[in-house]
Amino acid sequence: MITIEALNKSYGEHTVLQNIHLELKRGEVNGIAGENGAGKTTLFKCLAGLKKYTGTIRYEGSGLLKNVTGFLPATPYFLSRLTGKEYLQLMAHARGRYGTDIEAGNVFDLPLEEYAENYSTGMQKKLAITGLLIQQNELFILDEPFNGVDIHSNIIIREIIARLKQANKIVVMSSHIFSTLNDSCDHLHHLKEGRIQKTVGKGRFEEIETAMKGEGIGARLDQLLAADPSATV
Amino acid sequence: MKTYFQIQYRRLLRGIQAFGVPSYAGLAGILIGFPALTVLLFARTPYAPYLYLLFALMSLVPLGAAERNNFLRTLFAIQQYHRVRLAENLLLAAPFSIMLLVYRQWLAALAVIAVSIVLSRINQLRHSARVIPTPFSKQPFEFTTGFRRQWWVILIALVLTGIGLYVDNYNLSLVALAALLLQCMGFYTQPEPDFYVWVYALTPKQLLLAKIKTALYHTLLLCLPITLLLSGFYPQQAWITGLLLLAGILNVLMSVVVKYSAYPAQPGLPQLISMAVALVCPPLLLLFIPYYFKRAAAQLNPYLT
Repeated sequence: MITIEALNKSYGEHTVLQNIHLELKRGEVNGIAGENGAGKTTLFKCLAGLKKYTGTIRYEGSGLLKNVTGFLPATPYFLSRLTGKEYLQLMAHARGRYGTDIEAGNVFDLPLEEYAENYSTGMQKKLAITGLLIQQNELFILDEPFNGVDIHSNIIIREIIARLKQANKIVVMSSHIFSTLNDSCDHLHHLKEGRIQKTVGKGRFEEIETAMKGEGIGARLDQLLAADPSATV
Repeated sequence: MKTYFQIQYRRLLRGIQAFGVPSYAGLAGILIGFPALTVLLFARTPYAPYLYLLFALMSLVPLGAAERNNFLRTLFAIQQYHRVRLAENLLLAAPFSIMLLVYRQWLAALAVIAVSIVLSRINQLRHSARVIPTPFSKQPFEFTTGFRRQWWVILIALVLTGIGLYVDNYNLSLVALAALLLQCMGFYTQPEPDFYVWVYALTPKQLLLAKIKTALYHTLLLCLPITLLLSGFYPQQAWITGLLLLAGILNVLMSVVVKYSAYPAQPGLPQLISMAVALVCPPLLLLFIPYYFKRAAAQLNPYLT
């Protein structure tokens, strides 16, 4: 289990995360929902150890949490002139897995002999996910894993998340698509302006969806659409 | 077009500031440093014109990068785009050419200008999707990506070595070896995104040692053929060849630790001065490498613990 207590993150005077408390249990998928700029990516980076923070993150497992964490950034970055295979080799070697059978780990059937930078957005995301899988991590932080992927890959990623859950891994993810959160997550946390506003269990996710709709532009949009089109500007 | 060059000038000043130097002082430093380094180069080797040509070429090639040129094409109409490319290539080639003229290297000076004109018309050097095979692909990434970006430098070095051996000119082949070693140092100039450091399940010291080991192994792999050839053809000068290889390897290791000593930023002026001093006086590397190793370990600490 991973326990996050009183986590705060600021950039100078600008506070991005405030007093975050979360419990991420093994065999559970936790979803983070929030508007753009709510602090989801910052929270993920703090959890991964890519950003400094104040507060506590405790890992009840052996070894350093960072070394068993797989982080999928919202937009994975690939080094220029590195093939898909070499990227996966790099990911495996970084975790000391020198004997990894890269071809066998190619669950998405990616063209591994081509430069990763030339892959489409969806293929790059799949490659990054494959990298996390071959590292055999314990914690999977997935920032927008469904962004830019096609329907077939969407199904496979859902399957992967379900399998990770079965394998007793810890998964935390974000998505702007409620249906994917609904399908994959056991708990959903609503992050707003750097604070966890609400946490609900499976079956009650629409409470957060409703709350988020309330924050939206619905009323202003209605007003705009109802405007008299013949009126001069 | 005028606005474009004004912006480039501002970017240059900002780049100098990023090194921690007041921009105009840095500009003055470049204006004084470039001729000073040229004088030093021409004083130390009779093959300075060849090296100079190589340096000029290495400076011009990045201007033809596909992404950059695609962006420029969206900014300018096609004729204006060609004028911009020609102007910036000539601007970059001019200092090299002027210094070559000072040294009465007419042919080399003309060659620099000609190459800059030709390169301005080749919309490079478009980044090919074809994967270039490399002997370094089993241990990505610095040499793997570096080899694919600059395979032509290796080719030139090999050709120069061949010419040197054919015309029985030891120094020419030695210059080729030096160019290869400099190239290896160049593979460690750009800091990678933090994800590619964070991902390692190693302590900072372990990561640095792993990087040093890979750099050592790959540098040897790249430079050993020329070293062996030179030692075989010129056994009496084998000790000079060996010393150059040793100094070069130490300089490559220096570039590894220097790169991470400022991480995630690029190495600043003090680091660059140390590298330049170490190039001129290699024994200093025995002091510099441990010093920058410690600093690099401290810089990597937030990402790896």
